[in-house]
This record gives sequence, structure tokens and C-alpha cells, in this order.
Amino acid sequence: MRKRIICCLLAAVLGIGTLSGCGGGTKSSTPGTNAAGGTETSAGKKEGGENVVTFSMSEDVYTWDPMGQPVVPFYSIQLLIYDMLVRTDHAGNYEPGLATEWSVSDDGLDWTFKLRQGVKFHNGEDFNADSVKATLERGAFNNTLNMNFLWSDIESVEAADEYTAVVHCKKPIGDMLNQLTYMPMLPAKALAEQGEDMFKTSPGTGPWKFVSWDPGNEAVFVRNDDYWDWGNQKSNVDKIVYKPISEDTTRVSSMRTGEFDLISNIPPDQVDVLSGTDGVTVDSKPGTTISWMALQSGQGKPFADKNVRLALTHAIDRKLIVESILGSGSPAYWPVMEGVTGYDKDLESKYNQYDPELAKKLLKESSYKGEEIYFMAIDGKVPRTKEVLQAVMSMMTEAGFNVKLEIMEGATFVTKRSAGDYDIAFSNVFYNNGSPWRHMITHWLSDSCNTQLENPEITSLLTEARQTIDRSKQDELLKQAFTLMMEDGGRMCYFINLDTINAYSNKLSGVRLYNDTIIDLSRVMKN
Amino acid sequence: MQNFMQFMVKRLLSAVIVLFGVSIVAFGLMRLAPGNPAALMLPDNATVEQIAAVEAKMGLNKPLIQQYLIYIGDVLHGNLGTSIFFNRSCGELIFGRLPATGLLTFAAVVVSILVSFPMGIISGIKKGSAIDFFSMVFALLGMSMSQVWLGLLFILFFGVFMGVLPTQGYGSFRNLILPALTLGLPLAALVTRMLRSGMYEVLEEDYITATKARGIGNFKIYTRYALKNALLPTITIIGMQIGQLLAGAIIVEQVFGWPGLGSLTVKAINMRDFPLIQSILLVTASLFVIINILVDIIYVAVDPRMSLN
Repeated sequence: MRKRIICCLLAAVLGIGTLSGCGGGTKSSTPGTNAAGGTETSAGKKEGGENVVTFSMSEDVYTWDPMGQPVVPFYSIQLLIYDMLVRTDHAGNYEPGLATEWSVSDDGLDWTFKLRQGVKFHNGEDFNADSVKATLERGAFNNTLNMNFLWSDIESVEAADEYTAVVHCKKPIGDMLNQLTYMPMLPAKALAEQGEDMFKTSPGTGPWKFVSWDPGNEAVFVRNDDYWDWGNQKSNVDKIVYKPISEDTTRVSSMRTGEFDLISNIPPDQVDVLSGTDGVTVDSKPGTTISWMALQSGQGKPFADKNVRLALTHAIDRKLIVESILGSGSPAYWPVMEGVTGYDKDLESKYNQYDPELAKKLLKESSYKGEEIYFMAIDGKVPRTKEVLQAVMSMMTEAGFNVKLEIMEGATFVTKRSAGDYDIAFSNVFYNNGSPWRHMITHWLSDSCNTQLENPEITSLLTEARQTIDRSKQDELLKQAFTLMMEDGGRMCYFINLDTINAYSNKLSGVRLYNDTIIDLSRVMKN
Repeated sequence: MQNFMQFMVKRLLSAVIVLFGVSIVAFGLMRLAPGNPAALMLPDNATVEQIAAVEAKMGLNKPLIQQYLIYIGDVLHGNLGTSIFFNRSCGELIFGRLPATGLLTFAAVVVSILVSFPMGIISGIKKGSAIDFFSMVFALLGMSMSQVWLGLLFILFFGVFMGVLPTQGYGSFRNLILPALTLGLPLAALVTRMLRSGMYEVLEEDYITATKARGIGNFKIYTRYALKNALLPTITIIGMQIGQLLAGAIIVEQVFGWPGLGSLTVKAINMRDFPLIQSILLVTASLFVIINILVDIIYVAVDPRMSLN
């Protein structure tokens, strides 16, 4: 027996010895002092004297078309390469970007933008009214583009003179200024000549130039010394490298070793580890990502009955899940969170509160007779998807529901969701720049989850709000619409607001981390 | 030489048939799975007309047979199609990433040989010894540990705590070490076991006893007489396991952010990028077929009793 134990110990020691032996040849070099000739990019090191900033998120960029397939990292990346007509502080305030001033006609249909002069694209083209026309009309007329739905109410764009663009709309677009803050201006001539191939070089007017993209590995940007808006804040960084790493633990580890300067999308359970790392600051704040459950309310389905829908929302103890499983985020009792148009603290506290007795009572009084509820969810839309949803499931069971849970990948989910082939569909959505419209247009003004629940009053309030340019009036209309949604318990049951958690090296300054997951590195400095 | 030519012709013919089958399966399987790339590219509220327009742009609105024939026709002309999501040619994407996966797989094979040969041979000779016991513990661990977990342990240990190796990245030798170890160790475990039992069995054979009787030294017996015989099944296993390694690479590449075919495959499948998935499968299947032919040739070189026929 003793011999066995000794053998085991020996095995362990030898095992570690063997493994470290394999790496032994390079043991003398520590991270940060790269062996010559390698292209390994790690932070804290200057490649050939260059000052490099490396940042990492979980997803790669697929198409570089800003209107094509918007993935979370691209909202941050496009701030490097491109400029927009309007800039935002992500709290609902707008500042001039490539447009120096703007005005809108009284009927809200015609927007006039005065454009900045002397701005050049990275390919040498001049920025002028033609760029605005080409960019916006492409968005408005090409219905194979993902973001087309935001712009389809544009009738035409007129280049009144070289530096004045007038946007004529079919209907007022209440969210126009906000939408423009994530609409990069593209060079008209290159777009006409090269079409989608232009995005292989992605020429913008922004502070950083696109250099290369190696799919799955890295995208590289260099400083644009001719940028029109450096002022006295010119970055001392020569190169920004974006590296997608889908495995959370790896991304966090690489931050701990100093290979990365900034990472996003940190799982809440890794926050403590990172905060304890020297030279790293963790930035965690309430975010604008909200998870929702669409309720299939077609004829004969359990959720067709309003009492069943209300029973569900009162059966879920969101606070418990946030505190005991996630350790971050906040319960969502209202379609939007603080900082987004349509939020109201008092109204929020009136609806959807946890009340298991009420849930049981509602369910008993309803037409629900214990039919199986098919609960489907996309994996990874909340941290610890499985644990969180199992908790929801047991809370539902407690209230008297009979639930079958299935967690799946996105493509299957989307097919089933569009077909209405579910009872509960779980996913999430993020609001950028304090605007609820992406979600309202895709899921409320259009029944894209095929819930078959129509409330004409909600639809007409939302339609009116969408066409209202005055923000406070829009806010009022949205609150009315949201109140109706909550009373009705319908189409969507809102669940949890997720926190936005990023970490960055203390060597960086000038980084702007917004709570809507967007990171502005355009003016990053590194010591 | 004539034998060799005959062998090659025969194998290449069967390879063509295999690849033809793979192309049908690759084409059909993804289309059977739920999920529509056009719907995935568009926002949730896309209208039926919009989806139809995108499908037409991708050529997905044609009858399936026609789509397949167009695809095969393109492949025969050396065109692997255009990826829907990356908006680049599949050939450019795949062959741009193949070197990374090839390097990783090769390094993993090297790791597994370096680790398993000494351990397998010695433990086969000294059955029941401490080294043998250690090898078997190693083999058990190596075969039962999940690669994701193993990879993360390596990252934490060598990257974060010891600080000697980078945790991710691509391009230098130091970047290669951890992924190669992670991918190679399970194979090393398997080969160790194969070699150990092979050595042990061969050493029990009468002819070894006879060799001993003739007074030939142990070293020569082990290397020249025993190992050569024990090696045959091992080579087959390594050859067959290369397919397994390519599959394992998908996981290991995700863990280490290694820009190879594996991470490309995952993305292609998630996004239902039909042309890209088809081409990846076709290219990897071709590789696998080629490797198998090579293994057969090596086999003959090692064992003259085997003939190419």
C-alpha cells in the first residue's frame, strides 16, 4: 500500500516535471520580453518600439459592413475607423460629429445637416454631402442589409450643396439622431466602385485606420496622423489590436498575465480574481442588456390567457436569482432600465413583483390545466444560463406550471422562434445610447417572435412615439405603452438586467467604457 | 514500383468515391438541421420578402439538386464558393487557417510520440515497476480528462501562476507549446497503452526467448526485434487518431484562441454558413484520406511482409 502511495506521488511529480520540461527551453523568457521574430502581441511590450494596445472581446467580427451583421464588438470597432454625423455621450445627449449643425422641419420629415469641411477618408476621398447620400440611401434602399429596418422610412437624401445634406423622410423618424450615432459615414466613390468589397479595406474618416483582419486571430488598426479631430489629445499609441477570444477563462487569464490591455464581457464569477490582480482595474456597472421571455399566446396555447401570463411573471423571484446565482445584474420589472427613454422608477415598482401566492391564485383561476410548457432558450444569453433557467423552472413548478426546458444554439432557436414553435422563448437584447427603439421596432412593432398577441392600443402608442422627435413627448408615450404591456402581462416577460463588466490595464487612459457595452478606444493613451 | 503505382491508382480512385460521398453528406446534413442563414443575417423583424431577397442573393432559393450541382461544378473548377458571413472566398479562409491547424496537429503528434514512446516502451519491458505504474496513471488521466479542462489548467499554471508561457495567441514557438500539449496528451496516453501492451506481448514470444538464448544483448532485442513488431498497431492508431486530433483541435483552438480551422468551423456552423461548412468538411476529409494513404505507405516501409496490394 505504501509503495502504491509513493508511486502515486512519484507519478504526480514526474508528470509536472515532464510537462514543465517540455516548456523548459523557453523558461528564461518571461511574458513581456518576447523572443525575437515572434508576432505574438502582448501588452506591456513595444513591438519594434511601437506602442501597442491589445483588446479582446468574446466575438469576432464577421462582415466588416457596418450595416451588415452587427455584432457587439463592431459597435466599439467602428468608433475607431469611422466617424458618424452625430456623436453621443451614451446618456441621450448629442454632439456634432461630421455634421457641425442640424435642424429638422416642423413636420419632422426633412433633416438638414451642415457638414464639416476638409475631412478626408483614409483612401484619400473627400468627405462631403455625396458620402452622406451614398451611406444613408444604401441603408434605406438595400433591404438585404441587416440594419435596413432602421432607415427604410427615408425617402431620399439630397446633396443640397457640397457640405449640406438634406434627408427627406416618408414618416418622421423620432430616433434619427440616435440612429446616426452608430451609422458610420462611408466614402461614396469607393462604395460605388467596389461595392461590398470595399469593406476589405474599410476606409473611414476616423482616428484609426484599418490595416488587416485575420479571421479568428486579430484585426489591426494604426493611428491616423491626419485625423481632423485630434486637437491636443493625439494618442501616443501606434497600433490597436483586436483579438477575439471566445473562452471566458482564457480571456480573463490573458488579462491577468498582461497580454491584453482591455477585455470585455467578464463573467461575474471572475470579477474577484481580476480585481485582485495588480495593475488591473475592473469596471462593473449596471448595463443596458435585458433578458426577456417571449410568450407564445396563439389560440389554444396556455399563455393566450392573460392570467397565465401574469402568473408567470409573479412566480419568478428575480431578486433571488440575481443575488444567489448571478452575483451581478438587477431584476427587470419594466421593459427598459434607468437611462433609457421610457423608464419610470415608480411605475417599475408597481409591476411584475415576486408574489408566489398571487401566482398560484392567478393560475388556479386561469384556463391552464397543467399542459406542458415548452421553455426554450439560447445558451449564453445570461451568465450561467443553465443554473439560472433551472431556478426559473423550479419557481414555475412551485406555482403550478409543468415545464420542459431546452437550451439550444442560436440558429435553431431563431427558426423555432419565427415559427412560433414554443411556449416561452428566452433571449436578450441590448439598448444602445439610451434608446429603446431597436427592441421596440423588432419585437413590438413587428411580432417577430410570432407570439400572436396583438394589442392595437400598444401598437398605436409605439407607432406614435416612434414618429415623435420631441424626446420628452416620446418618453411620455413610451411610458403609456409600457404600462399597457405590463398590465397585459404580454408578449414579453422581462427578466434580468445584466451588468456591463470590463477590465483594463492601469497603463491605459482616455478609454471611455459605456454601460451599453460600447467601448470607445479612439483616444486611448498608454504609458 | 509497378506495385506502388497500382496501389496509388486504387487508393486515389477510392478516395474520389469517399470524397464524393462526403460532399453529399456535408451538403445535405447542414440543410437538414434547423436554421436559415438568411434569417440569421437579418434582424428579428425581417419580412418574408426580405428573407427571400437575401436567400436569392446567396443562391439558396434554387432547388437543392441544382444548388448541389452548382457547388460540385465550382469545386471541380477549384472554386470552393464564397462564405456568406465573412464575405470572402472559402478557399482563402480555409487555406489561410489550415497552416495553423496543421501545425497544431503536427505538434500534438510530436508531443504524443515524445511522451508516449519512452513511457510505453519502458513500462512494457518493466511491467509492474514504478515507472509502469506511473505510466498507467498518466494514461488513465490523459484519456479521461476533458481537453477544455486540461487546457484551462495549463493556462492557469504555466501562464498565470508561473508566468512562463503566453496564455493565447499565435505566431511564435512559445504560443504553440500549451495548445500542442493539450491536444497531444490524450493521444500520448492512448499510444502509451498500445505500446506497453504491444511490447509486453512481443517480449513473451518464443522468438525473443530464442534470441536471448543466442546471446543477443537486451538493448538490441528491445529496439530491433520487439519494438519493430510492437510499432505496427501503434502506427495504425496514430494514423487513425489524426482525424480525432482534428476534431479535438476544434476545442483546443477555442480555448487558446488559436486561429485554425476549428474556430472557423464552429463559427460557420453557428451561423449556418452553408458554403463554408461544406468546403471545410471537404477539405478536412481530403486531408484525412491523404493521411491514411501515407500511413499505409509507412506501414509497408516498416513491415516488409505487408505489400501494397
